[in-house]
Amino acid sequence: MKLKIFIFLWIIFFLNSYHPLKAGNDWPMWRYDKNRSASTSGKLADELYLQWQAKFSVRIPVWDDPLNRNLMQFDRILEPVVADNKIFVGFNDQDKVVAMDINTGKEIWHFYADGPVRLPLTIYNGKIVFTGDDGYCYCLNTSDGSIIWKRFLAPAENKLLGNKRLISMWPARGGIVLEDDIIYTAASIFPLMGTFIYALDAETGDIIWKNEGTGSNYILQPHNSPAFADVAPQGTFTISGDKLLVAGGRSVPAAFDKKSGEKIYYRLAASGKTGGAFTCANDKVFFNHHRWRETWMYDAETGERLTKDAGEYPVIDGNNIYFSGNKIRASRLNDDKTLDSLWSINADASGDLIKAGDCLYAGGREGITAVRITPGKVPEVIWSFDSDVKIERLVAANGKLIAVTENGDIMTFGDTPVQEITRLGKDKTGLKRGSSKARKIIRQSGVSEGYCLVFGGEDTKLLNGLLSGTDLNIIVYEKDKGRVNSLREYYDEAGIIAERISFLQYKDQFPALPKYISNLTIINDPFYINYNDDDLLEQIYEITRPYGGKIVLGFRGSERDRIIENFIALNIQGVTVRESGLPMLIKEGSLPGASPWTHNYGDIANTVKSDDKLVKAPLGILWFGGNSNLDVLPRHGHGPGEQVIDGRLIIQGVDCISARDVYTGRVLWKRESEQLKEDNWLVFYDETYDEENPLDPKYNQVHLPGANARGTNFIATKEFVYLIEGNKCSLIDITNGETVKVFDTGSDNTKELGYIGVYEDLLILGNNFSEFTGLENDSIRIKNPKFTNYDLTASRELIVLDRFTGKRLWSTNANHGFLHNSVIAGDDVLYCLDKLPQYLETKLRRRGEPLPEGSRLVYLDIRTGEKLYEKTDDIFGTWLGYSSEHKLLLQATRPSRDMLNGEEGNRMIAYNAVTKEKIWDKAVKYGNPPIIHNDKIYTSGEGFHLLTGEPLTERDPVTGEDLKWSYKREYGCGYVAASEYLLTFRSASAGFINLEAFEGTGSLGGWKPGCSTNLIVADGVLNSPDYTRTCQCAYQNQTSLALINMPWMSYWTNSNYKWNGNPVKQLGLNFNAPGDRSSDDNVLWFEFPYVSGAPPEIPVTIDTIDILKIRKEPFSIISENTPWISSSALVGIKNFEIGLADDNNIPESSYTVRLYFSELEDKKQGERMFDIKIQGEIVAEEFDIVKEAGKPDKEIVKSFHGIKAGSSIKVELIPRAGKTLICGIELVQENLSQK
Amino acid sequence: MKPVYLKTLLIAAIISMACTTKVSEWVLLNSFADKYRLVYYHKGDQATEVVTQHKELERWSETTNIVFKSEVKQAVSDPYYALYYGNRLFGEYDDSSSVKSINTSPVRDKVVEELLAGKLCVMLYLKSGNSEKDNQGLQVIKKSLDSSPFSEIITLIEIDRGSTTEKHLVSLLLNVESDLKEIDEPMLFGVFGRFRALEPLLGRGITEDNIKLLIDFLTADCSCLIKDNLPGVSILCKADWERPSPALVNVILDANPSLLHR
Repeated sequence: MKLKIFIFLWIIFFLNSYHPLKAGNDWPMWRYDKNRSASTSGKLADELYLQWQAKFSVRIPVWDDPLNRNLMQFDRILEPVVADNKIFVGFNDQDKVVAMDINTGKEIWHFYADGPVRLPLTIYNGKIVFTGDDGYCYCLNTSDGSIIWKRFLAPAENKLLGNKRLISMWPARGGIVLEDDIIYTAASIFPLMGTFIYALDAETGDIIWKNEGTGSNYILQPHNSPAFADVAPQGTFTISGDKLLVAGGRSVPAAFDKKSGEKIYYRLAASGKTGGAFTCANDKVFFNHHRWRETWMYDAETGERLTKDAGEYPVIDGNNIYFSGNKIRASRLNDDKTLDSLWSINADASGDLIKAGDCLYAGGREGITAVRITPGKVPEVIWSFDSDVKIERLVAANGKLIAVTENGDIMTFGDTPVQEITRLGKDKTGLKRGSSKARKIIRQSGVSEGYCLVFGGEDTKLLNGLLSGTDLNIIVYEKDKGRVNSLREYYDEAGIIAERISFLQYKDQFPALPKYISNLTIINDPFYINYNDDDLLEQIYEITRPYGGKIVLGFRGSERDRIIENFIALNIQGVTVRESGLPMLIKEGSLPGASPWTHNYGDIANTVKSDDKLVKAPLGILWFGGNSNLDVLPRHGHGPGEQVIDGRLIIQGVDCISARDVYTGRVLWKRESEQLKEDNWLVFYDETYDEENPLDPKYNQVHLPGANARGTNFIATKEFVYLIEGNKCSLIDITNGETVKVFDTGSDNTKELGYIGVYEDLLILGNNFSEFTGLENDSIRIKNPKFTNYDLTASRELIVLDRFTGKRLWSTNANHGFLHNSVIAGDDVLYCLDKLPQYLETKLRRRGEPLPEGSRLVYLDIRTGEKLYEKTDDIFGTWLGYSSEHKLLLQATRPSRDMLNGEEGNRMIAYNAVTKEKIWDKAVKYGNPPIIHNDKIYTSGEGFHLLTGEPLTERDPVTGEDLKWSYKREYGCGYVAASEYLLTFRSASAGFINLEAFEGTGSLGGWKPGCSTNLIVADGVLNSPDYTRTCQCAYQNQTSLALINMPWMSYWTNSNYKWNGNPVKQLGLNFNAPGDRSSDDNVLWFEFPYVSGAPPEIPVTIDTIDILKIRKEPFSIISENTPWISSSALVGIKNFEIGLADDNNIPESSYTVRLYFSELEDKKQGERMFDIKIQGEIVAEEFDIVKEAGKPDKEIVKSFHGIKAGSSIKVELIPRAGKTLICGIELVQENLSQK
Repeated sequence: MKPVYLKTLLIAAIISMACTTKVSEWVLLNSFADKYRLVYYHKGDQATEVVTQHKELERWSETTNIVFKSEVKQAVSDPYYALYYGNRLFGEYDDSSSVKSINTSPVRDKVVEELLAGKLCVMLYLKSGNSEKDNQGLQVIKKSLDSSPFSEIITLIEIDRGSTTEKHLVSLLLNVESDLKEIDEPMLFGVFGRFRALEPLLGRGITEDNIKLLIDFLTADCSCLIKDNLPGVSILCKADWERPSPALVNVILDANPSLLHR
């Protein structure tokens, strides 16, 4: 028996030895191993022969723009991994993983995930793991594709539209790396949404550690300016020694301690304009993407850059580094982390390079080349394969060489020739005929594009009809899991990608869908709707898009009538019922409380404010991606910002103007224009703009004053987009982008149109630009001419037309020029300044010369042109704004970055527009176009009372005294814009001021807002179209997106508060929080230790034993109002003392002290107990958080009243079992709270 | 003329945004002087002694805001040197020895010394040669400085327009704006930072209000607008700007907070 076993084992050993690539030589993860070395010890045969070739479609990568596509290539091509003679591939378009026989190419099994599978797969011990945009980590059995375990990485099931797909709000794009049976991965790509980085037990999926809260760190962003936005995990993770390198999307990766999950470094700002999702490493260094396929080399210990332009994506074989490219270059990594070049060989490795045994395999435009590298010998080409299409990926495993082509083919080579190469590629069955019901719905709803939500998937004829008869992106909500699987199979077979039809399977709960996305909601099965469930009806209505979204009830009977009746009974604003034909509910008009943003500054009154009342903090993402910044002007040309009306966002490109759906980001139409390209030249872009090289990190497009000086060249209205093209104005149908009319001025002398504005039914056009060049008389310019060209700032004549017919109503000529930024209207009066630009007046004054006659402020009847009033004294500035509410006209200048020379803000005048009397005239300094916000004026950093011009004050949140209102803005071009509750601006990341609270500058971290102002609140959404074209900065994301109010979302601010030492009335200390924030009862909570921004200088002394800092995402904590307090804690505090006044002799007063706790270490009852003393008195004995809260991660607040304190207050925590833990402390002086 | 109206005369933006460093200090510490361009035009071959001279010129240029280079130009009859600022030709010189004097002069040395000592600015009063006008302007300047709380940290230097020792400096100043050479009026240049000359007050424009605004500009908080688009023109000079003394303006403002711009 023993002999038989011996012989058997010997045979096995022999067979293994005989096979060129040993059985153990799988290719179990992307680029072979945890280092992403692309180097396996397994050898392939010297001669290789194509065995089979399978055809798949070309991948459509997740991101839309050339730069993003280069920096994040993780789903650019099919990425096979191999184990046990099976090839496994993930599909981003069919949301599936497929297993194929390595010898035949035949499919063995496939598995559908609930979202796109974009990151490479990882295999171990007969299991395959991968993540999806659905927020899950899946573990399947490699033999049959059955689920072994499934771990939800996202904190909740909420969905959004991401890259045109309905996905998790926290898509899992942490490409799995595995070491020692531990999986490292992550969910969420936007720090503002919270990030979740995991180490999981590979066998069970159990969490070993979870890093949450790091995403909110206050760190330096590009331009060395801080915001609450740390690493955003996106891309394939890598291991280097004891570090986990977390791919940061577009940036150089962050390093985490792989044992504890603590962040070690993330050099976002320090790394500069480089980074990307590709990283490979050894224990000493890592190579990270720069541009194209170039890498830079970094010290793994510190993250500091060692070498620029190290070489193209390399193979790492210990200290031997083989760089890919048009030729293979070999280098040696020295102990001092320098590289020495060794040799090079002409072999096309422009697509990929791997090492198997003693051979390098190079893939490129010409095919595949094998190069033998023998120590001491010249490398030699031993085999090659010619290909017409570029080889983009190579994998060597199980004796096979697998090649992936740029057109989506997988080719497999073996060691023996075959008689006939097997060609695989399924013919798709195509769609079967749709039902008449589908045709009826399409016809009667009039909806043929956008997003369509279908409740119930049983009626495939309906789905087929919708697919074939429309361009709708269909999302089917189906309760039956089996049906979902068969539908996925069916449409996969038919060749319909998941972007066109995807499926949501929830048995017992209604899916948490994003608001406003559905153009057409079809409830096809009464089983899905309960007419008595008002919440459900409201949810369905919320999902429906405003401005005409339809809800069709696709079934008959009394149930349908009751549902309609109940919808009506809900009395929701905007709902109408169409009874004729197919009954449907229509969501008419705007969202209640929403407001548009037209003209360059919100409206023709130049208020720089949207009246939108829906958008307020906290904010979360409604959608991201799905459109391209190629249709937007270069960011430094400072072209006109977007305008938003009736659910459409209108934005301009170099040679186009386009409309996007505010609620989904979908491109509605795009109209190209050569005339626009000509008009925009030297206005919104110039010779420094390089359209052809979007990957070149050079400074592409210098700063121009652009629309800051010129004003906008288009206006969006409900009916048309009015666009200046040369000397004419085109009326573009806002629904479809077609030019329906072209107006001219009726004057023969019109060379160009300058100003444009719309007031009710009137179109105001500036006829020709005023030329000031003669006055400047500086023929040889020393200063940047871009900022001294005043000839685009004013129009010679204003002409008013009927905006529907083009009939010329009246016109008026300027003495000098009607400055565009001053041409405004309100209450049927047109106001404008007719004068020289500010700098030219300054120059005359400086030279002691008189100003020319004729400068004036004019009031004109906007309907007749009659001059109502003309003012010739106190004429200054370049800006007018109007408050209809207060009948107040504000005269000012328009200072901001990237504005013409001389636009300093140091004076404002307010006039009563009715009596024409001056209300106030102040020498105030400001740095923004003045925002008229109800009865206030906001500028950059400051505010004033509109009716008095006096600085705004507010209540000091700590002492209760009066305090000058101000805020701090970090780095950012573009001006500040306002809505009812927010000021929005770039402040390193996107930033905002919550006008309802004293809490400072908040961050919306994780993407780059525009260099031109693009954070515009309108139509219920904070719009952020990607106005960053030509930007190369390594912000975590570069994309368009939209945010809406999400009350459960967290955010952090830098209050920039400085305590003056006077007695504290109230405050909160939020232990180990990332930043400040105000609570609903207006207590300002400071993070402690102070880590974000300047400290408030409230003295806190603390005594600890082995202090431990814990932070989770507030999302993880059960709390009615303040999860953001109880989601972080200090462990091991013995006592802490807070200074309450600088004066040690102040009399004692009574405070209510609230202590906030939450068990954040998953301790059980009895494992953590401590006594609490305040001011030396025991107030709680053997306090047990879990016992009182009932469970971990649940907030418990202990309130203690009547605590006497003078100049300080001391809290002691005396451990009884385990270590102490505290999340926060709130102090409120009791006479204050009684008020 | 109402005082509030005169506020509009500031040459560049004064806004109180993030930065509390004063304009004069920030520019001295952070804003590199614009480089002039010295080009040696020649036909091709350069004699050994010229090569040696040019090595010296390269060393010389290291302490000056100038870039030196050689260019082959076939149309040149004899080699020569040309000095440019931006696209503007400042002067042409036959030999390297005459070039070497263009970066220094007694007044420029003094200005550099004063700026490095932490002074707020140096006011260069370029006299027109018309004594009546010059005296009138000078009186206004002195009166303005006498009444200014910053008088101790402002140095006034007078220059004759026809000065031979300062002919290069005069030429440089008259190029701050393109038409200054044609204007026979006294001119007052505010010089700050690393020898940055603001556009001048001219003749009747030399008023107490305008001088006060000039001082206001330099004592205001620096803003991004200033940083992005620094007003004025860099003057060619030899200087090591690395270790300036602390800005004296802060001493005055610390002692007199009411002078802070709000």
